[in-house]
Amino acid sequence: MENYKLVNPSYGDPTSVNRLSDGASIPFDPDNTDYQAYLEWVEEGNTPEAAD
Amino acid sequence: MTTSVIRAGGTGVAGVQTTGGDDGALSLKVGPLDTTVEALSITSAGAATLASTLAVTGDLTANNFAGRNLIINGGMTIAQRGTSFAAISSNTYTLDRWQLQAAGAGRCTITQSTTAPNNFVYSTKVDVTTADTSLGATDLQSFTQRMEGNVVSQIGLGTSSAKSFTVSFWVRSNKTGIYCVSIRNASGGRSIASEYTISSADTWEHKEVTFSGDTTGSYNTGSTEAFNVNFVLLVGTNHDGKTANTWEANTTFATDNQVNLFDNTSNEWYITGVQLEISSTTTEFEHQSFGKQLALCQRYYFRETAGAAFSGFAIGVVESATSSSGMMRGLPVTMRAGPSIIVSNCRLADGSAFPAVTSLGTNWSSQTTWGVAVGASAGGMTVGRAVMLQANNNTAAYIAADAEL
Repeated sequence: MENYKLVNPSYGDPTSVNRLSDGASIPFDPDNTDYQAYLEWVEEGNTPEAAD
Repeated sequence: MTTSVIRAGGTGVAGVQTTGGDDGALSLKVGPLDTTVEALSITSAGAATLASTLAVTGDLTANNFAGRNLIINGGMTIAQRGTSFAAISSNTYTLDRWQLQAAGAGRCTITQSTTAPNNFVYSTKVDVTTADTSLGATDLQSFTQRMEGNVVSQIGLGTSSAKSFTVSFWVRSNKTGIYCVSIRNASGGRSIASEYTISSADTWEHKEVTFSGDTTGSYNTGSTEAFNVNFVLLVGTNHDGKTANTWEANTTFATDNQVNLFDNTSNEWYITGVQLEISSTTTEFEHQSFGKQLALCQRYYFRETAGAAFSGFAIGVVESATSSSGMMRGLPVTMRAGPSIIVSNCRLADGSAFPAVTSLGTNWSSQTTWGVAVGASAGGMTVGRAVMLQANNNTAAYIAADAEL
């Protein structure tokens, strides 16, 4: 099962999330398929780990 | 020799002179009788030479025009992620633009192989390492390329003017029998499959399958996926049942005739020279320059691997002595979307401290810029200093940007 962790932004609102399996930093871009997979994962009822 | 003269008048009046030589060639000459100029010559083998400008008011067709092939990396030359991918158990990108869709017990190793037909250097090899002989309904193995709407929208799929298109390729396997190539739209409501047969074991065979244009359904035309091209290697019952060469309102992959490549670990399957062109017939594979193919691939995925132990990848500024530095660099081509960022086996270097990278923070990349906050393992860096992201004494270190479909 994939898992994600929210990222604390340097400033402003969060703009990305980390995929824990490979450490990828995923932007909140609606055309990014990793982001689309993250949104589906959340829709399935999953919750990402809190940011540090 | 036979010479024919077609003239409107006497000497000095423009006319046409055809000269058929003893060698079977034809020479078409024009102009005044005393100063004729050879406008067109045709050898007995049919090769024609035109002396001056050619103006065409209709369509000009040929089997080697550039830009015919809508498949990217059909010659399997680009392999930014690596050249070998073992024990694939889920959807995984391999050679650039090519994804193995995998579900079930079957496992394989995919490699960039130098076993190739004449005039090709590489192929993709699928080597079965774990057999799947008791298929589950959802089992699937398909070698797939996902096509961006911007690349294929001119086919007109989903409109009344949809055109036929042909997929051609070289294939080889020890496992003979009927295989399927299928087209499935991204929204999952339309699909079609066509069969091809591998007749001779361990022999390169050139195949082509033509699909009629689908005049219904919905196909993305922008930067998202329009449809996927699938070379099917195994299907469970949820994915077969198709009627060949018929557009259907479902998401299945293959007919019931599809063989199971994964029924034995001695099985292997090779493919190269994949071409998709808007035509009911196929033409010779369009070999493009390595640089052009690489640039086309980098719209979807970019990786820079260290050339030396401490290769530099990006520069930025130290924002925190213990946690974060902002790094940026340009991307080689405009990517399809804002990319996901991966950093592997790297460190930061601000001139006096060299902590290993341990995490990534905010991704502020765009389609043209690679940018991410990089977290380090230890403190010691000086806030406000310039900092370099570099390989951490590891030639396998890399950075990547992923905007695949």
